[in-house]
Amino acid sequence: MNTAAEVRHLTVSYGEKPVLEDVSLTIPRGSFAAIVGPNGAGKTTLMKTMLGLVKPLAGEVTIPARGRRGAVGYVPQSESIDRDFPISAYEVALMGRYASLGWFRRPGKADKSAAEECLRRVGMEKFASRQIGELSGGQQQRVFLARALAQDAEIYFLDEPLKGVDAVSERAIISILRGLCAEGKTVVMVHHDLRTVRDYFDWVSIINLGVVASGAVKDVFCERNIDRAYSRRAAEAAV
Amino acid sequence: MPAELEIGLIAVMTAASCAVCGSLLLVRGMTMTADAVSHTILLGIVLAYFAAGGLDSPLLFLGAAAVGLVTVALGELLVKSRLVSEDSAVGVVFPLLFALAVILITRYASSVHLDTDTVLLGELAFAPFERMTVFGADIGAKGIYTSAGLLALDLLFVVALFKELKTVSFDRTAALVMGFSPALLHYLMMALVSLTAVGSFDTVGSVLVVAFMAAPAATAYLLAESFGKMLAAAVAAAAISAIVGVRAALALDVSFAGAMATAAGLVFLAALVAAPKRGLVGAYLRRRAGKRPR
Amino acid sequence: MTAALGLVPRLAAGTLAALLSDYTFRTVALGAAIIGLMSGVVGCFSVLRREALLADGASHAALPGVVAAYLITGSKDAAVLLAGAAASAVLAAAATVLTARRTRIKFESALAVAMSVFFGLGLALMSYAQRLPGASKAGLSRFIYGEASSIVMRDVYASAALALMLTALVCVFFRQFKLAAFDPEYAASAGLRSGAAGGALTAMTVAVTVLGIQAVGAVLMSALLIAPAVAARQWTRSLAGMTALAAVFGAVSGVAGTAYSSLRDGVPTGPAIVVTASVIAGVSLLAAPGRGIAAKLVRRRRLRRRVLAADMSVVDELTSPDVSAVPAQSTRPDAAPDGQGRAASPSDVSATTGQGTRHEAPPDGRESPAAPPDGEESATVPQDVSAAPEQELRPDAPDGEGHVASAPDKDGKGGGSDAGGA
Repeated sequence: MNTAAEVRHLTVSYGEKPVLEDVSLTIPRGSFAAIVGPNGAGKTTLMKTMLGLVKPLAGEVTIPARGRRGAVGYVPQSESIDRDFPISAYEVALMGRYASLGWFRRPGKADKSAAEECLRRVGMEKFASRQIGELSGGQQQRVFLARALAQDAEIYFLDEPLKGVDAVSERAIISILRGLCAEGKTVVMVHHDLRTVRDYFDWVSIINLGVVASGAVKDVFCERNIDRAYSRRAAEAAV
Repeated sequence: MPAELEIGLIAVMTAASCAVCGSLLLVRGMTMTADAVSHTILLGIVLAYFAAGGLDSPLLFLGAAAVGLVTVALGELLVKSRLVSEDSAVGVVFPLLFALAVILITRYASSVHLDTDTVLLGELAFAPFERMTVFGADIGAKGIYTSAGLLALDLLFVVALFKELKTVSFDRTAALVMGFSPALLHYLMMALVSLTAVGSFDTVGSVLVVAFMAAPAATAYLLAESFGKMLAAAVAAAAISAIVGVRAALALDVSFAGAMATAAGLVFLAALVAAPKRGLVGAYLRRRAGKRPR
Repeated sequence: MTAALGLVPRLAAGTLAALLSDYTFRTVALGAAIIGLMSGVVGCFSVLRREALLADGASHAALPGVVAAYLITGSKDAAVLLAGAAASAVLAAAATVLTARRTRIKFESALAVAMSVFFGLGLALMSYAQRLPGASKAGLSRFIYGEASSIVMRDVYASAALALMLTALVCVFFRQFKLAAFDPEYAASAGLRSGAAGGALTAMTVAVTVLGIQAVGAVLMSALLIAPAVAARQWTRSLAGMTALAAVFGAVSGVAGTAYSSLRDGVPTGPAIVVTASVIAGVSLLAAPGRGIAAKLVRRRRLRRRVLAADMSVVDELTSPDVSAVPAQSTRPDAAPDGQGRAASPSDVSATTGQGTRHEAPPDGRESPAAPPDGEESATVPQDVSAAPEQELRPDAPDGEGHVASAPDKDGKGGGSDAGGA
């Protein structure tokens, strides 16, 4: 199997209790993969560790594409960004080109038209000059998606991009991501809504502290695994 | 050059370089760092003074900048330990370093020119007395050259690293993923803030440093919709405040630093009330329009 | 050897006795102790409310009020000057809050602007006042650096009265203050007047700050509020204990600082007090049992060793990393203890409704999964929750976990607010 990302025996802890414990999973190239699990299962932490933002206590992450500058794309959780920052939608999209430019070099004509093109692809060209905070949650997510597109990465990580997003934006985002996978890119996404997993994704990792199940959606996304990840905790919480 | 013009020139250039640093701090929500750093550099100056045995050594500059960085690093260390929240960390670290500096000065260095008043309050009025001479020829006040040098450094920094600074300030994670080390940029920025604070304190005092790192940037933040425009607006607001402040100080015969800080506050107040989109009046009108039933 | 060792306490006792018989020292030390005590108590709330820097702002912003009061009344009486100080500090605080609430400028930046501008205005007024006949600089500039030696018995009585009042207030309204400091949103939802309690706390911070300026000066006053509170937090989990301990630490700093500066020539009192308080805080941060940095390092090392040791055995068991279902719960007996799962509830399974459902389970009050372990980003993380006494502070809250975890969501608009977006 052609692997886009591999995680082996990952244990992460912020304080003394592990947030992730002995997590191992693989994500094949070209797949549209979801990371699901109950709240506090460590989904965001897993993604952050895969991106190299969090240092694991033990274990390792391998992303073969990482060798090239800008080969790893990232779309933040919408509430983690500062809505008041003086920056326009167009500037955010242009930011995607910075990775391949490297230090000190300024974006040229080609970069600028690429950024405009990416804004068009997500249907946000009319809002190019808007300050980011003046856009709705869904529109902001689309702008960040445009940034990721502009980056032309091999593997994309998205942290709950659909949270607080309207239906129109959600459909637009999913269809663009599917398009990326069709081009052979890999998309990994932290996801909350179990009802849409089957419709959207072809690969899924169900986690709760550890990996409950990971594999093709049709193989592992069954009631038994979901119950194992969710209900037990719910039952414990109810006690 | 007449003394008043020299004072004005120094004031404008110092204010502008503080405004550049202040804008970088403000968009990252770190304005109070300016306050902390501008106080603790005193410790660096004292220590470097003991090491160098005089006040004219470039060591003073470096020592002060180093302590500025130490302040930031210590604060971050405390936050990282998760025992102390961010604002408390700043509130614990900087008074300690400042208190140590004050004790050292009053106990061991009280005889020299190095007194706390000069550091806190500065004295722009004396700036024209310190001359720069090349081969015996007077080429203007020394302060003009330091402030011009600082301004050049600050501008060079933001122009050269504009896209990196914008990226890291807006979305730290994205910067990291793209390969622009946030830690490196952060400490470069802090070094610049420290250097600017040191270079300015002796002409205008650390109070003015804080005022000019905070007020013009906040003014620009209310007016500008992009990072580049914000930097430009901050420099403009700083220059206007400096000119108004110097003129007012001359006319009323009061402290330059005080008058300039007040002018910067008034310019901010004007923007706060009347900024077209973000001002208080604008916000009020929008709220009222929002409340009105459709 | 033993004789030499015995000599030290005897000498110390001798100097202490000499000090205590000195009237000026007694007055100043008493005044500093009372100010330290009050700062400790009030500082706890400021630190928990993340208003620690407000004290710094208020103390700087008091300067123009001091000078203006002098210019208007011509009196250098401490009461008059302090009234002026309080007025301008309150004005600056109000301006800060208004700016932060009504514009995109954040509280911290608004505070920096207000305090530096007010201080600058104070300087301008002071340079004007000094040109008037009879205005010696010393009388006014002691407000910048503080001059504890200027404390007279009358000041001690005044601050003792204020201290009594504040202590009574804190005792009577402890529950309200506790909620206001820890979780204003919940307090409001429970029908408690947290706005009033919060306002009272802010007013108390300003009052103590203004009073303390005379002793330690505008620049250093914030430390006297923050350091004892931070130190006390490390030793106890309950707010009541923290407040009491901070009061003790503050008072001790006041006395010890005064003593140190009287014994050593040329050591100013204010900075000596601040250094003492900071040393107490530093020692507490490092050495406090359980929470301290030393204890944490030891435990983290142990955890790492345990995990690494466990890893070796797991590697043997798993033949391929592709194996999907990892031997789940059973192999981790200690995996799902109290923390992790508590906030998860059945309703989270279909968590599409946004808003209330996003409680990335805080294991012990911190939002660990979303918490960036490094530096600045943590501005959005409720650090104060971690710095807050944990269990005790959510006394009888019906949804003990939930309302705490919702704090970070305050400005994440989430939910349906932008449903009609594009």
